[in-house]
Amino acid sequence: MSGFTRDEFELGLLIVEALEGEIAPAQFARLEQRIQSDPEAARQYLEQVMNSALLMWRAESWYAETMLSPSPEDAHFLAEMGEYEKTAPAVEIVPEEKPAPLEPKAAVRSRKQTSRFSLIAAAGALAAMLILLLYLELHPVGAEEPAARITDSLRAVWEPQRGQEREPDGLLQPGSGPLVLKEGYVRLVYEDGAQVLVEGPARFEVKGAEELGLSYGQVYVYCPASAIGFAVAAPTMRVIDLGTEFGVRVSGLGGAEVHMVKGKASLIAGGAKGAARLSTILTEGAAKRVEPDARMQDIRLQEHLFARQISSQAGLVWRGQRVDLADAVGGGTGFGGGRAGLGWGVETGRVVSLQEGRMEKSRSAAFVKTAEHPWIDGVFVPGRSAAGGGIISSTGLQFEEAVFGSGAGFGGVYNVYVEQNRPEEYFRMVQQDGPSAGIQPAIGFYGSGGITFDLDALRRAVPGCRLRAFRAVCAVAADETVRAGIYGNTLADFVVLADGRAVYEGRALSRFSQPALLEIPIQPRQRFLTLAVMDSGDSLGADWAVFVQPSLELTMED
Amino acid sequence: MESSAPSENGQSQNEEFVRLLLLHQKRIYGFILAMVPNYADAEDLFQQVVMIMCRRFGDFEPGTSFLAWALQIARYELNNIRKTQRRSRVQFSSQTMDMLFEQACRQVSGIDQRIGVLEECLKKLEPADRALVYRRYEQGMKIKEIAQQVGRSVYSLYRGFNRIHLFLRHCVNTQLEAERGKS
Repeated sequence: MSGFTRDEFELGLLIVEALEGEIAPAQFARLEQRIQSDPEAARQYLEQVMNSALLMWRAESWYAETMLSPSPEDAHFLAEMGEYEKTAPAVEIVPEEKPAPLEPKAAVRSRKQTSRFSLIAAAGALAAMLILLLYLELHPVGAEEPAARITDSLRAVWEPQRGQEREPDGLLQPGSGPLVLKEGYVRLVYEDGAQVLVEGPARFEVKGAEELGLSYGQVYVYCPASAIGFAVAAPTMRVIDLGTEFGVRVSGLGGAEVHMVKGKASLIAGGAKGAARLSTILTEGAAKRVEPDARMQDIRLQEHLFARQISSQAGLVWRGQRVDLADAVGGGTGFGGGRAGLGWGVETGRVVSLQEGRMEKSRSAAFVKTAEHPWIDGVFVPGRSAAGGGIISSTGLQFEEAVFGSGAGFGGVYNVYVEQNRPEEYFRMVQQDGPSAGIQPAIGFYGSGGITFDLDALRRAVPGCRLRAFRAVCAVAADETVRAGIYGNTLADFVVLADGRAVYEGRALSRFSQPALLEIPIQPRQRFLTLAVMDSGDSLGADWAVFVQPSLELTMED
Repeated sequence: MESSAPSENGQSQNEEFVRLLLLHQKRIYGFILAMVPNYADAEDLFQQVVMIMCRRFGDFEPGTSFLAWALQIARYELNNIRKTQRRSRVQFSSQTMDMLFEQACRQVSGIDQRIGVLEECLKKLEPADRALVYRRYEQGMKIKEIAQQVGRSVYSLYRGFNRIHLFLRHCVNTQLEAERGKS
């Protein structure tokens, strides 16, 4: 780079210093004099300023376009940037060979939509504040308008000096100051649909219609499409949603973590205005720790660290885990509290222990409602020999095709534990009080039996969540009598019903049969899920048919 | 003409203004930076001027050039603002601003051609210079901060950025002339 005249160089230097705001009055006077007296100098001045303006605009537009509003065609670029940021040193960042396009896509996009977010995204960070102001000018928002409301709380204890309890449906206005939740849980829903679950102790603030400030504590954020662009601002970083679910944890000492459970978000490290800031795109499964000095490091994603949903009615805190159906069969909520060896008696519909229930042979096929569990509808023994045979739900649903069993069983449906036992058989029954290494929970049927879960009742227990799929492994497990040679091979038929329709059937499985891995989608309107097992014709003896690790997968609901 | 008639419907008019603003915002910003050669002041003034344009959009005559209208307003309002709010220690005289006005309007009108060419020229920079550009314009660091970070004197970095800008200007002009020659 050479070949410039001395005059060009001197003028260029004056322009650089002026643009930076670092020029002395005498030097500025010199700049002005050169521009006035020399048309070539005026031309150089304007061209250099235009290039500088474009560089500023280019960077800011790139920032906004990629960080705030990635279009499908940006996806590849974002992915590259994400990879780049993972490996790039914190300071020595060299630009990509293929920089972002100079021309902001704003003009094109603006023809299609003029939502607040699209305006901000299209305008570029340099003008983002302007456009936001402009939006407010065009669409005035009353200062008193709340940005979020508290929709539920569980065991919430607020800092006393706030002077007032925050109740469900409490409205939160931007700028009303920070709130301190000493313990418990609070769910906030923003006007744009963003949901935030705050877990105490935490100090947080509704900073705007699309922003939460978090001084310390942890929150879980779920953003539907309407809330893309929602931001969580912590002292040392800012997370901007790009269509995601993520958890943010801020320690009182200034360090912060982001755990990206789904989707992606932009992470900008560095809190002070004007200070150097580092940014990256966080994708699903990634987690970062941001130190007070803005250094970032990869950490392990802790998927179940954050409370995602609560139900004050059910006293429930959901951290993203599946609903454990074996736990429910053992008398638990599906998230804990169930006991091994307990089950539901098919004669009475009441809780029964394995010891007492197992030896009582039942020939009733009638459906029995279980009154003691909020979302287990009832139990039954498949068969047509008794009155009411074929009924599988409290609403009278029938499944005639499944009525091929003998109508006989042993006592009930139980919460049991099994252990993989290859190469002898796939699973063997174990006596255990709780899960441990290699030991897995299961719903066990001794002989024939069936159980129906009321999914609508379960949905009411976990509001804001959607049931996505039923998962389990179907197998016949060997117990001590089989292993001692008292009984020979044992055969069982399995069936899974969705509102009375078979969605899985497994015939004549033995303890040597390859277990069936089930993953059955749950439809939004589906109410009943039924698991049933029937003797396959050999004998009832030692037919331990099990659904291993039976669970319902939950996701956040839009 | 890129503008359509502002509708009597207020919402449509607002949307039309935003559409036109988004189309021309970088030109308006470039113009203001030429009149007020200081990044910080220009950004601040840009916001103020656009807010005024928004309020006065009802005066805009449909079918005429939005950019010409916007730059006239910008010029007028910059004069007003500089009288009432003294920002930097230094600013151009009205005489200089009048002299620059017409040329600046021409420059910003042709900014689209400059954009693509500038992108190509950035690729021709040495890696170390690209890193400086990245820090200044994409990371938003001031030259003083970059100097601290890389352990160089501020003055040497001013010279470095000047060298980069002179190269870019030369490169852009050469390519623009070549493109004009082709057409």
